[in-house]
This record gives sequence, C-alpha cells and structure tokens, in this order.
Amino acid sequence: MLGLAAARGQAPGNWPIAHNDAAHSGWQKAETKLSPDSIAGQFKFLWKIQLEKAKTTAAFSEPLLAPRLINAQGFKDLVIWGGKDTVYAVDSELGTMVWEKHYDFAPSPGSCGASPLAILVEPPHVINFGARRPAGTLPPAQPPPLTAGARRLGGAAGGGGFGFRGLYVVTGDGSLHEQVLSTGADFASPVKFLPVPAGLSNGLNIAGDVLYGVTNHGCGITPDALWAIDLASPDYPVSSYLTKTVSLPASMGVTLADGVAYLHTGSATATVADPNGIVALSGKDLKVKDWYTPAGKEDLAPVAFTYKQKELLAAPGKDGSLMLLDTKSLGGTDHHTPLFQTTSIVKATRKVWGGMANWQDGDGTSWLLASVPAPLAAETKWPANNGEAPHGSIVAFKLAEQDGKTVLVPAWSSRDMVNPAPPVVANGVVIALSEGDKKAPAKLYVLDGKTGKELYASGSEITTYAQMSGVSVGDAHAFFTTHDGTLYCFGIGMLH
Amino acid sequence: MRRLIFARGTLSLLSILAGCASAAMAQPAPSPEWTTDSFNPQRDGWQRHETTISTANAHELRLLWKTKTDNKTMGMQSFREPLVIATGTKTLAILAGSSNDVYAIDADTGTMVWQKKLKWSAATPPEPGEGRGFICTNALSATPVVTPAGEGERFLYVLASDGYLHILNPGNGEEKDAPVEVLSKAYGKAYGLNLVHDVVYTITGQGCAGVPNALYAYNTANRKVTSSSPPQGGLWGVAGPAIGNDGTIYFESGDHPYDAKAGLLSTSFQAYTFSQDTLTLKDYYTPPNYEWLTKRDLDMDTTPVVFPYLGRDFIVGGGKEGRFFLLDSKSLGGADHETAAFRSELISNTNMNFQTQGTWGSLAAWKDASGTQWVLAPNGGPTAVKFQPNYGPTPNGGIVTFKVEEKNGQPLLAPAWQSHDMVTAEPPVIANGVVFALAGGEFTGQANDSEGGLFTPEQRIQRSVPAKLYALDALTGKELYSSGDQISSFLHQSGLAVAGGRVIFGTFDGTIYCFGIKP
Repeated sequence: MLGLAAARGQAPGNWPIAHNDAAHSGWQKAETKLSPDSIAGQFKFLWKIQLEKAKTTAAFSEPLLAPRLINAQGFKDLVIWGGKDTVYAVDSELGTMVWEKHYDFAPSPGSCGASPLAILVEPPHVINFGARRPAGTLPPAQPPPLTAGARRLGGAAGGGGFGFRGLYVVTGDGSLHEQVLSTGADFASPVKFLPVPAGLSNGLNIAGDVLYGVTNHGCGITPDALWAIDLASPDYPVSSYLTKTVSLPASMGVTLADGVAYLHTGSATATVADPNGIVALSGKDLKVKDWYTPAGKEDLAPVAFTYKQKELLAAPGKDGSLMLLDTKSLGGTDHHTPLFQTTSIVKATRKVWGGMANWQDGDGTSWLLASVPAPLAAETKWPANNGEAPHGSIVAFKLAEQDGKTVLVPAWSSRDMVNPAPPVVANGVVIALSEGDKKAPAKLYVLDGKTGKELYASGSEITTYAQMSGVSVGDAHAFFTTHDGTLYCFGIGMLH
Repeated sequence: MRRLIFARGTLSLLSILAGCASAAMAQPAPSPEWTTDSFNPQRDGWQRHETTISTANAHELRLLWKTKTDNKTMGMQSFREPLVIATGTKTLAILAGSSNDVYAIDADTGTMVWQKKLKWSAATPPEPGEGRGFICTNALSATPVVTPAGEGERFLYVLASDGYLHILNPGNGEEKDAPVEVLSKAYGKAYGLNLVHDVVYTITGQGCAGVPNALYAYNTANRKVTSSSPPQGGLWGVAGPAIGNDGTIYFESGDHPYDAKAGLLSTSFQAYTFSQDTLTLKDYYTPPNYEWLTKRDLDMDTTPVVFPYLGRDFIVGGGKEGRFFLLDSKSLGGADHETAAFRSELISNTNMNFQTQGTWGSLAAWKDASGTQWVLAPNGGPTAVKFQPNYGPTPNGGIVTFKVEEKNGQPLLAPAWQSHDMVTAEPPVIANGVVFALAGGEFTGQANDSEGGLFTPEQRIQRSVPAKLYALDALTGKELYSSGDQISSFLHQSGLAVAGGRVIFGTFDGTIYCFGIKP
C-alpha cells in the first residue's frame, strides 16, 4: 500500500461546503486536469444515478465532494448529496452507491414543504469528538507522546492520514448529526442545534469549531435566523442572530472570513438596532459588528475574497447592480457607502442574480462571476460578448484599480442560458449549469474563464430541468442534481 | 574463500563477455531441493523433481513433524519461505526468521541442526520495537537464496534487517565472509533474493526507513552493490524480482507519481539488464488505466512469473486490481508501452478494494504432459468471471488458474479451474501434478471501520485464523487433501516449499510444519 495520501484539504477532489469554501468562492483551486486546452474532445458525460424519485425543490442544494477516503472496501472518492430524509454517498468515479443514511424525523409543521438535508463535510483539521462523551464520564486518557519514528493509529506514516473524518447533517427536526464520512455510520448521538423544527435549513458553514446554519422563509416554527453551535464545548451552546420579520435569502448559508460571519439579510429598512442588508457578526456569539444597507434582495450569499491586501465582499446591490464592500467598514460611516457599485447590469425582473464566484487567473487578475437569470441591461458593454442571452447568462468582471479606487470592470458575458445556476470555476474554466425549466431540460456548459467562449455544451444526456441546484467540481469532474433526483457527473474521465 | 570468490567472479565475467542476455539459465540439478523463493529464478513455483507425492497418493499426506522455534515475530511476520537443500547426509530445511535468526532443520526429523543469529552490522544501533504499523516492520523480509547444486561451492545468502547481506555456509551456518552493505539504511523492506550468474538481486518496497524503492544487484565476484535509479513506487512482489531465461530481470512497481520520461514507472512491469555492474532499464509495460490504479491504490504488486512459450520468454503478472497481464519479452508493451500481448478482463475485485482482494505475492506456472502451459495465482475475494470447474463461491478467495492459449495468432490467458474458498491463499506450488495451496489465514483488512484509521498489527493478528494446507489436482483443482485443524496459527507471506515428498512452511507462532509422504 502506498503512503502518498495527499494532505487532506489539498486533494483536488475536495468540495466540503456549498461553493467549496467558507467564503463561498466557487473556485476549485486544486484542479489541474480541466483547462481551456483540455476540454475539447475530453470533457463529456460520465454517469448518472437516480437518488430520489424527485428532488425537493424548495431550497438550494449542492453535492459535496470528499476524496481519498478509506473504508473496509478500499479507497473511495465520494460525492455526497442530501435528499429529503436520506444522505447519499456515491463513488464519484464509478457512479455507484457507497452508502446511504436515512433519518427518521417528524416533518416540519410549516407550509414550505420538505427541504433537503443540510450537509457539510468536516474540514480537514479538527473535530472535537471527545466533547460528546456521555454526561458524567471522564475524557479518554491521552496516549503518551510518540517516540521518534513511531506511528499512532490513523497517523501519517505508512498508510497515510486515515483517521475518521466527519459529515455533519442537520435534519428537519433541528438535530445535528455526525456521520463517519467513509461509511455513513453514526459517530455519536445527535445534538440539538435548532431549538425547534427548522422548516427550511439552508447551507451549513464552519469555521474552527463553530458550525453555522440558517433558517428562513418563515417555514416551520423556527424563527428566521442565523445559528451557531460551538462544537468545542461539551454543552454545545447555540447562539443565534434573529432577523425578526426579515426573511433570510441566504441560500448557501452564511459567508465566513477571518472569524466574521457575513449575512445577507435582504433589502428591508435598516436600523442600528435591527440592521439588515449585509451584516457582519462576530464569529461565535453572533453580535453585530458592522453592516451595510440597503443591499439587493437577491437570494445569494456574498463572496469574500482578498484583493491587493484588502478583504472584500462582493454582494448584490440595488436595482440589478453588484457592489464591492470593504470588510474593514462595510458601508463607511453612514453604512450606505460601498467601496464600489456597478451600474444596473440586469434588466429588473423578479429575480436578477443567481450566484457569484471569485477566482484569480495565472496572471494575478482577480475575477468576479455572477449568474443572471434575466436579460442583461443594454447600458453595460461587454468586451467579450458571446451572443444574445434573452433568458440569462453568466457575466464576468475583472477587479481593477482606477483612480485609486477598486472597481469591477465588465469583461465578458456568456451565451444564453435558462436559469443559470451559481457559476463555479476551476483552472481557468467556468462550469455553468443552465438549469432550464419545465419546458427545457438543463444543459451543462464549460466556458473559457477569460473570454466566456463556449468550450463544451452537453447534448441530450440531461433529461429534465434542475432547480436551486449547485454545481461542485473536483478532480476533473462536475456534479449536480436535477429536478427528478438524479445526480449527474460530467468531466474528463479516466480509464478504469 | 577468496579463491572461490574469484572463481565465481571469473564465471560472472565470462557470462558478461558472452552476453548475459543470451546465456541460458542453468536449471536446478535434478535433486529434491528448493533453493530459492518460488523454486527458481523464473519464480514459477514448479517443483520439477518431485516423485514421492502424486495425485494418486496425495490423500495420504500427513503431518510428518512440527518444530517450535524461538523466533521473535515482528509485526505480523515470522518466517520467510523455506529453502530445502541437501548437505552431506542430511537434507536441511532453512528458514529465515523475522528477527534475523536463521534456522536449519533436519527435513527428515524436524530436529534443529544449526541456528544462527545474524550479528547486527549497521552503524546505527537496532531500534526497539517492531517497526511502524504492519507495513514497515523491523523484520527480515527477504527469502534467502542458496547457490544451486552443481554451481560450485554453495553459499547461503541472507539479507538481514540491518540491510547487510550475510554469506553463510548452508551446512553449518558459519559466516563465509564479512557481511556486505546492500541497503543504505537499516529496516528497508526487501523481498525474495534471486541468484543468477553469481549476482544476488532483490527489490525494495514501501520506502521503509527511507530506503529507496529500487532494484538492487550484489555482484559476488567484486562485492559491488548496484541499484537502479530513480527510486520507484514500491517494488514489493514477495518473491522479489523474477529473472528470465535470457537474464532479463523483471519486477512490478506500485503506485507513485508516473513520469515515464523521468523514469518514474509506477504501476508498471519493468525489465532490466545487468551488465558491467550497471542496471539498465530495457523495457516496460504500463497498463493504460494506470492513473485509475494509482488513484485507488490498486498496485501492481506481484512477482511476475516467467516461462518459455513460442520460443521465447513470456511473463505473467497482476496485482490488486484483479486483472492479469501476459507480456511478450520481445516487447513488453509495444511501441506505446501500454499494449500487452494480453490484458485480461477484471478477474476479481470488482469492489476496487486494495486491501483484501485481487492478487498478491507471486504466481506460478507449469506445463502439463500434453504441453499445455498453465498459470496459477492466489486470489483474494470472489471472482468476476466463470472458472470451470470451480468448487463453489469464494468469498475469501483461493487459487485461480489459466491456460495459455492462442486465438487468431494471439496468446491469451483462458480461465481454467478455480479452487474452493481459502482465507488469504499463499502463492501456489506445483509438484508432480499436484498443486499445494496454503490458506494462510491472515486477516488482510487495513481500514478499521469501527475505530477509524488503520488496524494495528495486533488487531490484524487477533482477526487472523489458523492456516490450512491443501493438495489439489493440478488439472482440475479438485481437493486431494486438507490439513484440517492440524495447524494452530496463521502466517503472513511465509510461502511454502516442496521437495522430496515434503511440504514445509512456518507459521506466525514460530512453528515449522512438515507435511508429506515418507518416501
């Protein structure tokens, strides 16, 4: 057996959180096989597997990826997806089921229908399993320090770092479960996370030992709020930031950067006592630190990223614009002044933004991508225009310095797409899912990250539409689910 | 002593001058011996000189003797494959133990004739403990080799865990010369020594203790050690390298970064020549799905077997993937190095499980009276193709066999019979129409699904079951004999030797068994 286990977290197939990281960049940084030069003739449909009879459609869900796991059946690369009451782990190369975990819980009393189970793969570094020992029992004795050259079970030498890794799952009754990622087995008893049945639980996120979840849309009897549970404490204390009457449009969950939680709370009127828009909260106890208002009303999480030593947020602005916020002072002294705001990019419709992504190319240029489920406004000129897009498109901006200010410069707009999902990017290519609708099945596109030029378009492989579906990318494969509960895999395959 | 070494050196030099590649290998003298791992340099496991045991009387096999030794185990390891040699009036069974003890036992009586503790020679002191997990133990790991009968003075070569090669008198265990440093550090993991034309070869795997994974050659004539470069993925066919009838050295490599231009040939068959104290890559074959094999740790991990066919050497090997490859020595992989003479369908391991399924260790080959060429292999887990005849489901595995046939002018491996179920079958041995198969009983799981991480050696030992010896009809796989519950312990890659009506092997608990029929 080899000893080349890649350091966990750096493997090219990792995608542990919605949009890949706590900042929701949507950028697969470890990708090497996909590139603008490798798509033609190689990128193709690989497999599909039906997981549920019908995908629940009321909330965003995105497959997660966990590579290089080991169980008694060998090494496995998993794609994991949360269904209505079951988590599915599928071999990401073969498209075969590795394990399923079903949860029994009372349905939410709300009227929003079933929500996909919220899932999150344990980040590579830590999990405090010991904190979950039964009350009254002593912690396990610590093993003696290792002598030089010695190896502890699951340690790095020889067999690699094969210790347990966890999968967090929030069920509709508000319980936080923890499964062994490689087998789906229960690792420990569930703990209460959300105080009452959750209704819709949106994307989970994690920073250190604090796990975050969002409830929204007034479903169930759980209030709309951001919740945080401290997994390092034996008591599992839960903090919350209630938004009262403000419904949270945070489909991917909260955005985390540098120990601060950034929550998009919509466009309701802001006050210091009840701030909304983009609000910055302290990491563990969720106290308000700063805010910007008013933001746009779109249902998406901000993207956090670093640009020229500045920690920035990209977020929807009003009237179909996009804006940049400096995390040092989200809206300036008046909380109304963004670092930069574009003109209206999108013709105002019911919904003007789908999702965003950020990446940096090999030249060091930082890019911002956004999916637009509506026609673009004619006022913005795109240096690279890839055709009429009456239904929707992906748009790309470069970040630049102009007159001492950081600005978003329009770069390209994509071909036409029907309800484009939040874009993701990997090694210079953009993976864009045109979700379609009841009249048109979904289509997957691969675009050149610098020009938006179409490099690949799926054919008739996808038989129905997708809805609120995220795309994950890892190790040259892209994954998503469609409305009928089918998990699809496209990519550059390898001979088995 | 020096004179004899010079004489051997002269022979080696003559061989080199004559061109190693064209020199026919001398077959072992027609005596009931077992002088090297898997019987001969080609690693075919075919004891050609057995006359005592046959299909007619194999049912009369019985335990002739068993001898308890003081061998100290290392991890899961106890003994390496026995050697059997005739010395003076006695026939000796020689076994190297995991803690650098060598035991020579009277093959007729089971009494100890001599025992030798190999002195530690490395500059670094021996470290306490048994090593690191079940992969890198601190054990002596290479089956020794003894000079074949009829090739001059006989020497027993034993590579100790300190990386030094000891040169012993096989008759009494005395050191015939100072130990030679072969591996750069102690506790490298070497595999079965192979001796051809006065050069001792071995391979190393798993990079244990920082010893590079490479092919090593020790030239007994000038005492020079040569190793291949660059370091490879783990070279860990348990019987070490196989050497063809033309002197070409073959081995398989495990997973590792692959870059053919840089000489990094992971998950491949490699062929080397040795001339003028230089190891040179001659040819290689890489399966076209090597990327997948690497991704799922489905290494090429067996010692390949070499046999003459169509007037030249053919090579068969396999690995954890559960597929078998037939290679033509004329061109192992064709122009692209990815085209085998025959690449089988997936014979087993549809689960892609690197731990307990597929093929491990080494293979065997023989030719029956009708001229049919057979290949045999140990297999883990159920098979995915129909073998006929077979003897029921094999959830744990067993022995699978193939006939080498031709179709449309192309040689191929046609599935033949499959044995009944066996727990961790050792490489089989063929003797006089009988296949000897040892179900080692080792628990080979690695991932601990209930506690996380990998099993410790202790946990694997606890989960292992006693070994069982079987004799099977080599043409049909029908069971002729089973040892039942006479063996009380398991074994880890210890192999078995067959010579002179005796079947000899050692188990984890330090016991050496001899089953047989008294001539």
